[in-house]
Amino acid sequence: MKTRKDFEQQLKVLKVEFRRALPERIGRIEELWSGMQAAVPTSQHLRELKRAFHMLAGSASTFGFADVGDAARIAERALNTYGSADIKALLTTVQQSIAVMRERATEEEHRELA
Amino acid sequence: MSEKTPLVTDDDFYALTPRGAAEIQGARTTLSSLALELLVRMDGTTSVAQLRAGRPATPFDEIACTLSILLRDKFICYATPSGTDALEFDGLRGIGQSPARYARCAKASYDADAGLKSLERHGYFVRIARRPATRPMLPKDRPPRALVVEDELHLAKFLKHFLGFEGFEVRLAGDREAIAHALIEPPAPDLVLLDVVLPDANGFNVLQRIRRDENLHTVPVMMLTAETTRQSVIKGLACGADGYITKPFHTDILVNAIQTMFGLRHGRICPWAYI
Repeated sequence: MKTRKDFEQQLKVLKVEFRRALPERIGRIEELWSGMQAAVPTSQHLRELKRAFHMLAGSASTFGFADVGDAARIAERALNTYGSADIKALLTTVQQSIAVMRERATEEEHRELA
Repeated sequence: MSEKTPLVTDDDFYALTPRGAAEIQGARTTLSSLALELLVRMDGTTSVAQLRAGRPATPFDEIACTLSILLRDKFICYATPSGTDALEFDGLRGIGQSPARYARCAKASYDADAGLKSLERHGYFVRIARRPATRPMLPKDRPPRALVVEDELHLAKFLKHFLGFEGFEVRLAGDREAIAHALIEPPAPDLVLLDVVLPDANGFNVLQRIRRDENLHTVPVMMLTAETTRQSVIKGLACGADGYITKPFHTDILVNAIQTMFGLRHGRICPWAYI
């Protein structure tokens, strides 16, 4: 049987785990995004990138990163229009979303180091 | 004395009222599957004819009756489609353009119902939960068991931790093999929380598999997903989900939803699990 204190304690641990994993996850997104821009993107590329955004869109807010979740959702929606929408606008949207996510993750890293 | 039932025609357009919106956001609905689906489809620009096209097997009378009740109970209200067409409609109404005529013209220009763009658009956040017809009860002689199908590791751990605190024994499954194992190997779950986008499986297929299973078909299933289109919500409910909560979610909403599914009113899900 768990007490409320145990619960809150464990919740903190989970939030820290998420925060520490965030830079690597964003790094993976950046890698996939660069890969997509460097060559003709395959459907596998696109699927993997969309999935990476999708997972952050669904989880980041739960761990206190609502802005990262929102940015990921915007990027995912933009990628859903790939092939049917203005490619320039799509590129800008995804690029901006990644920048927002990266900035937030860096902020958190600095905060933790401080 | 009963209130007069409003008349519904193919050419009508309806939109959600604040009460209707609250019904699909509160995780405590008592509306029928059909009523819920109509509320989800309703965006103010979809005619009754288009709503009907999305339910070809449902007789018009049943849809009309459901809409009348929703209208009478103020879950929905009459709407005028917005956008350029609507301006044209407003401008022409004074010189004899009837709503019926407008609707017929508008209808012709829309996609077939199955392909309505508004259904595919993302950003449709809901918190739907209803009590299954089988009236499931939480076990009294052991902790309830929850199966959480979630591939995002951190979120899966969070849900395990949260539901564990709420008194559940939690099993996690994040891919096809683990899901199959969790569904086949006893003990059977008392509740399933089900994501849609999984690495090598689709949550809707898993749901259909559960609903076909002799031992599992009555288990309450809550879709918990970042799939935020009307189409997905409709699909989930049509496949037999008892609830649909879009991510991100609040834990109090999740608790409300689970309480609704088990017919509990307020308080803790398993009060005996707390100190």
